[in-house]
Amino acid sequence: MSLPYRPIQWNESKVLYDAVIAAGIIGYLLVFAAVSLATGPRPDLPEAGALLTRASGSLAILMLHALLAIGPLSRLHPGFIVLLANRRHLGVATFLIAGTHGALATVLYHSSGAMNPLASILIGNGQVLSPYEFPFEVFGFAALLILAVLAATSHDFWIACLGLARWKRLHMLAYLAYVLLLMHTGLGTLQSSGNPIRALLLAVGAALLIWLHWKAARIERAKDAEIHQTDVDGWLRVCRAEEIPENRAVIVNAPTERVAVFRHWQGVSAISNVCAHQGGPLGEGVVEAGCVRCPWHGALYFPHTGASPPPYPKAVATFNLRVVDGVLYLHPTPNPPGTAVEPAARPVRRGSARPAATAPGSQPASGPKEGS
Amino acid sequence: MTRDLRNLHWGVFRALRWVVPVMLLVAFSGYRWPVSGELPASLRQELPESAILSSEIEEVFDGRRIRVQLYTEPAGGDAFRARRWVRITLQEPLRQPDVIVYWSTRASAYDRPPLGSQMLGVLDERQPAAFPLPSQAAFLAGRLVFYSLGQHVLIAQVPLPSSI
Repeated sequence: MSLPYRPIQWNESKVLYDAVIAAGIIGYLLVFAAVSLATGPRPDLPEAGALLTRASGSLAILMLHALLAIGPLSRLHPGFIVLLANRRHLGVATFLIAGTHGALATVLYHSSGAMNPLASILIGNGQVLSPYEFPFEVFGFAALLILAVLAATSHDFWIACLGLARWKRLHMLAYLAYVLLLMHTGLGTLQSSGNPIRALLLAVGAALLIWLHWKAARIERAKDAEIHQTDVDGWLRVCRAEEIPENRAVIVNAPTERVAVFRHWQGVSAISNVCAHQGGPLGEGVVEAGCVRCPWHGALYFPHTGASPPPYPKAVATFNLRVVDGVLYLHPTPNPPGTAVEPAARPVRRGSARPAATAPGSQPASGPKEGS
Repeated sequence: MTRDLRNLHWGVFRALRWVVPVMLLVAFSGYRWPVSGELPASLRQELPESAILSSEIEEVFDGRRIRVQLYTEPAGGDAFRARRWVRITLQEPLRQPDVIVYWSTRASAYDRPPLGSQMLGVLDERQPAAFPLPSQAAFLAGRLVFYSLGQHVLIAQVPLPSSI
């Protein structure tokens, strides 16, 4: 069996996103050049190369900060989700800029000797005991290798090929690349003894980024620590159906993973909170035209089956719900992805004096007692 | 699945929350802040008013013009006892930092000052620097060697005429 490789499916938002990235890159390089020309002597050819090397290097580290800040910002404020949707484009652009910096630096500083440029970067400088002479290029080289792997796998094809969990773990190597680039940039700044503003900006950027991630991680950890009440059979108490906003969800913290319990026009359905596309929080999405829409990339799922509408092959796990004395209970064992489950707490039909029946067989004689 | 990743993310940033500030503190504590453009008085030498300009050389190295003026401080008509000075003026700042000036009778074939070089002093990029030459310079042809301590490279060698 093989997986089909699809090129980028361009749409208006992707074109706009990439146009903004391109404009930002060009704008930064122009401003950098203008400031350098205004504050220094007119550069000759080697100096112009060095200028471009510095410009691309500083731009790459700036873009990496922006890239890594999008995730926690989106967790802290939904307004940033618009940046998350095409974050991989920014990631690939960051790699291209970092690669440009690496190529320029290799040509300028490692290609004029008798040694192979790659060998010159890796073993040309043996001063590993002195921070003022340490071969900081090695850290940049290692970070560039990681960014290359991440850029090459920044495609849905690789998510499908590796599986979401493995792909996510692989892409967490971006944090290692960031630390390596901090060491690369920090040591480079230390050795240049230039303007301390660069070093201070780097420190402020690192502090802000780590604070953002730490804050977002703490919030998520606190959510994970909230344990829902269970009865003796292991059913989790959710809430009363009418407490769930129409076409929205409440998120239940099941022992293994979060579950999104949606109230929609057919009743109440429970599906995994983890989008099969890139792990987005489905419970923060809405039901539109009968489908749950992931807030990150807009993947769609039927709430009662967890399956995407054709022709999309994705599906998430569904969960069984039952109603006891008007209270919803969820069984934490997931059904296989795409398994249809009759919605619980069906809404009152027009002209009917009683609510529609709950899912067949979902109200056992020994069902949980309210508040248990 | 994502709970494991959230735990991993939390663990990573719990560690980085301490590791990165320590890294930055260590880096800042070792940071060589830019020094004042003024050389300390102990490293500055003044050209004596009695010194007479004997010759002037202008060289261009790596696109930067260096002017070297040779002065002689008379010693009562005794040419051997006359002290020689050089006054170095940079028309534009050199690309390389921390430049040390040496006097040597030999040319350097390597990227460092030749053996037996005598250090004259530190070059101040913002103002002309004056150095007294060794006594041998009165009768031996030598050269000025400009070496960047910051980048460990030889920048320039300027031959000086012997006065005798």
